[in-house]
Order: sequence, then C-alpha cells, then structure tokens
Amino acid sequence: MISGRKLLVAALLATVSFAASSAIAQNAKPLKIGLLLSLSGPAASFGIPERDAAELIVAGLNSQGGVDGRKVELAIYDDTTNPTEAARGATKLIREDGVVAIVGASTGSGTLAAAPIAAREKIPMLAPNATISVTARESQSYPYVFRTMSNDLVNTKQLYEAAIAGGAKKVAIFYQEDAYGKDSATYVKKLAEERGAPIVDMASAPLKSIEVAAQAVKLRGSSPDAVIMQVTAPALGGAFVRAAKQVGLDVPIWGSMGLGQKSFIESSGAAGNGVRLVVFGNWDDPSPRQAKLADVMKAGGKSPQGFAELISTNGLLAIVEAARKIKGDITGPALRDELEKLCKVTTYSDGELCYSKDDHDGWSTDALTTVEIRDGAFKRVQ
Amino acid sequence: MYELLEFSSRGVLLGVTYGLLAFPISLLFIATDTVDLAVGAYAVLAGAVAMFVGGSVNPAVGILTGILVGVLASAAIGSISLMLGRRQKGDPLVLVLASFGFAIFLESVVLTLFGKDPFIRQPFTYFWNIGGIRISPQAGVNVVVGLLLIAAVYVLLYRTSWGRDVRASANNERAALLAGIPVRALRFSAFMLAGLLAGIAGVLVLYTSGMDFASGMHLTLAGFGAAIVFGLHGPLRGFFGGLAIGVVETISAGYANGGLASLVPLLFIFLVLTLGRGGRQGPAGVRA
Repeated sequence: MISGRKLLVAALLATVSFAASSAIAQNAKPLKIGLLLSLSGPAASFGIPERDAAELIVAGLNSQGGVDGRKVELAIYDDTTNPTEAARGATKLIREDGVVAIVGASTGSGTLAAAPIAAREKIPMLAPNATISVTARESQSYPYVFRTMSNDLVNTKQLYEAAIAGGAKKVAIFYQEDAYGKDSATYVKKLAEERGAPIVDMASAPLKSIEVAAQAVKLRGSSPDAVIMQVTAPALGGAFVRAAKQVGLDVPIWGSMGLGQKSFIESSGAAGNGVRLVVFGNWDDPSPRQAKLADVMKAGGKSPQGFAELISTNGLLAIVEAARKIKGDITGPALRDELEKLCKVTTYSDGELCYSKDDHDGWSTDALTTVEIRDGAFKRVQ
Repeated sequence: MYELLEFSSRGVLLGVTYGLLAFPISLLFIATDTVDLAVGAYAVLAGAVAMFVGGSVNPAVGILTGILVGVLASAAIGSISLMLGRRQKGDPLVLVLASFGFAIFLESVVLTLFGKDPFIRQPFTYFWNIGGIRISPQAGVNVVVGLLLIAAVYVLLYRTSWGRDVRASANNERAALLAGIPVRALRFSAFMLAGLLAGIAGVLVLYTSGMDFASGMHLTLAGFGAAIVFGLHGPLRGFFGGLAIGVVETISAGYANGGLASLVPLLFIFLVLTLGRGGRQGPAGVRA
C-alpha cells in the first residue's frame, strides 16, 4: 500500500515536471519553414509530390514532439512554375510568414530567380534542382543556397561511368536539341576524351520529333558498344529506343535520369526491355531507405510518384538537422552556418548528405542507383 | 551507297505520314481558299481517342471513334467558318487565326482528358526484312492507306460532280453561286472530309511513332510544309511534297551534324519555294 507521504511526493514531482515541460514548450517558438513550390503549371508534376512528402514528414515530426520541443510549421507558396512568381513568393514567405528557411523552388529557373532575395534577407534556400548554375560559386546568392539532390554533372558523369563499366569501348550519344541535351552531351564527350576513348558518333533530334530511325541508322554506322541517351522527354526517349530496335542497333542503351518515369517505359514498349538508367529514386523496386518514405507516404494516403518526394524531404530534413544543433534563437544566418557543417547525414535517399563551405551540392554519386527496365518496371541492378 | 538507300527508303516511309497530313491542308485550300492550322490538333485528338477507347473497348472501335471525333472537331471549325463567312465577307485570314485558337483549345482538351503522357500503340512486335533494311509492318500499312487515300481523293476531286463543284466554287465563288452551286454546303462538307483525312492520319501516327498532347502544332507544320513545297493547289502534290521532305529529313539527320540536321529540311522548303515554280501557277482548283 502506498503511504500518503509517498503519494504527495509523487504528485509534487509530477506537477513540477509538467510545469517545467510546459515552460519549455511555451518558450520555444515554432520552427517556420517555407515551401516555395510549383503546385500548378508544367512543373506541378514535381511540385505537388514535393509538397505532399514535406507535409507528411512534418506531421510525423510534430507527432513526436517536434524539433527539440519546437513545433514545425510550414508556409506554402505556389510559384505556378513562373520564376517571377517564385521571386515574389520568396519575399512573401520571408517578410509576411517569417520563415527561417525555404525549400524550393521546384524548377532551376525558379530557384535562380528567388535565391538573390533569400540571400539578401539571409534566409537559406534548399534547392531541389539538378541545374548546375543553382550553386554557382561566383553567384552572390551562393552562401545561402544548398542543393538537395545530385547535380547534372554528377548525374551525367555517373551515367557515363556506368555505361563503360561493362567494358564498352565505343560509346555513341543520342541527345535532345536543347540546353540540357547539348550541354550534357558535350560534357560526356569531354569525359570520354579524358579517358582516351573518344565518343564514336553523335546524333540528335528536336524535342518534338516523332521519328528518329535515321538517327539510329547513323549511330549504327559507327558500330558502337553502347549508346547514351541524353534525353528528358519520355516520348523522344521511347521513339529512339524503338528506332534502335527496328534498325538493328542491338547494343546496351543508357538513359538519363529524366527518363525515370512510367511513361518512358510505356512509350518504349517491348523494345524498352534491358534499357538502363541512372536515377535518384525508384519506387518500382525501392532501396530499404526509400521504402521507408514510401511507407510514410502510404500511411498518409499518398503514393510516391518520382524522385520529387525524396528531394523535398532531403531539404526539409537538412533544415531540421541544422536546427537541432542551434542552442539559442533559430535564425537564417545561424541555420546557414550549421547547414555548412552538416555531414554524414542520412535521409530517405541513398548515400549521405555532406555540405561544406566550398560544397553546397551535398549529394554525390552514392545517392544514385542503376536501374533496368524489365517487364514494364524499373528494377535495381546490383 | 547502301546506307544512302536505307536513309532514302526510311525517308519515304516517314514522308508518307507528312503526306497524309498534307492531304487535309491542301484539300481545304482548294475548297475554301484558307488554311486550317488545327489539322494537327484533329489528328492528335483522333489518336488520343483511338488509344483510350481502343484500350478499354477494342482497337477497331477505338480507331473508328477516333476518326469520328476528328471529323466532329473539324465540323466545329467548319461551322465557325460559315459563321465568319457571313460576317467577315470571307476574309481567309480570319479563319486561319480562328483555327489557330481552336488548335490551342483542342490541345488543352486533350491534356485535360487524356493527360500529359505519350500516346502510342504498337501491335507489331516483329519486323520485315526488305533487302537488309528492317521495317515495321506498320510502315507497310501506312503506305497502303496513303496510296488508297491518294486514289480516293483524286477520284473525288476530279471524277465526281462534288469535286467539280468544289473546284468551281474555290475558283470563282460568285460564278459558282450564280451557276446554282451550293457553295456554303460544299465548304462545310470539305471541312468534314478534311477532318476525316486528319483523323486517319492521326490514327496512323498513333500506331507508327506515337504523339503527345502537344504534338498538334508539330504535325500541322509538317503537313503544311509538305503541302506547300510543290504547290498548295493539289493534294497529290502535297503527298509527294511529304515524301520529298521525309527523304531530305532522314538524309540530313544521317549525314549532317547536330542542329544542322533539323535545319536542312526547312532550308529545302525555303529553296523550293523561292526558286521553284511550285505554288505559283494557276488559280485554286487546277489539275493536280
């Protein structure tokens, strides 16, 4: 039987600890994070899953007591896939909503427009873009911009390395005629020359081409061991894969990250079997860590669509991780300093996040996975 | 040399698609003296409907529904043309602009109803080997349909009273009216026929190379290039224009580098138009 005295002590202790904990909760201001994403317009296919994943992660964090007793609050702004709106959104999120960090924008051009404003207000931006110029060292905004995925150079290099890993000596390139296709094709050409195994042939087509058999015949003429496709449009990628099959260009085909979508598999048809891609995330056959995010999404009633979920949560978790290290007030400059010190942080993506003073890219080849199309799905290649 | 032969024959096969798209454009030009820029959009609409109805019911029903929807879409622009004709006293440019707007409208409709992913059907999983050149049987289907349509359009325009009336009213509207030819009804029927041809072209593109919601303008321009290169006045010339552009395109893709390859076909059209006699002779409705 519990004595009256013991009961009193217990009650007293309980009261004191309750008072103490509520005092912490009252002192701790919420951690306000802005989401500057494209929820409408052409990039909405990225922006919407980016937002959905961020909201579910925040709900999970808050249900476990938030970040060191602080609740996490999201302020969301739709930039309508318009860089001008992205710039306006950055101002609104910082000035009116009082956010201490921003995840966004969904497009590289949106980030480039908003970053100077964020940098002027000393608010870090976590950019879910592969566009090289987003973290250009010479930019005025550089100190405040951090990338949440591997950049185009890393992705392209890994694609080339993976393509020649099987022993391919003669590599040919097919690329789409736009800035991305041309730049990455030129980069692979340079890498190949450095390796002493120059690219044997190149062919290209406008983004809207419906028929590329001639290009496939041209590449076949130089009898390559492998073909790299620098293409982001699923229809064009599919057209090339089918054309290659038709003209008898029977060599391994490697595609860039942008083709990691269901519609590419559909558009390639039977010819797509065996085509390999280097991707940032793969929901058909997720790695254990990605599977955890898929579970979080499913518990929230959403199904993951692409790598968008991974790159927005990468940004969010980096902010949270940096905020945990701050003892006093959480401000933009304090977060920036801590972000620059973050290293060996794991999220739902493969690989590790590691920022430094000279590296705001953070993500490297260990975040990338090689997948192969088999029976209408992307399967991981071990 | 052998490679050149392969490029040329693949060019002819690609050109068949362009030629099919040129049919409705030059037919409408003959019949109504205007250009309908929504032709590619009818083709995309027909292809998208054929894909989705075909996927859920059966392919034949899908193809027929797709072509029918193409005809309905062009009947809509035909009605607009009749309304405009009454008010604008038949300024052809007004209809060109109206059809451009209609093309954008149809693009949004297709995007909303059928989504942003590419539409494609590939029933053939094997290839024909013709003299060492591997070709999909679908290309054979396209050539046969193209030739049948050439014959049908030729007979219709030059061997029937409908065709004679159409050519007469395009040549001189007032004289045709005085002769008792129902010019307005004829024009409307020409739009329906153009929709039918565009719908068939759209279904063939769906089965050959595929398309997406935004392909309409690309298809219109490909067909327009084919139609004008040897003269807008005859659908048969449009078909051969398509073949010529297809061949130039594949040969330049095969031998020229990078962006230059996409430039050569346009340069070819430009040169033919400035140096050649195509398109200059005679009023609308002369012999093909």
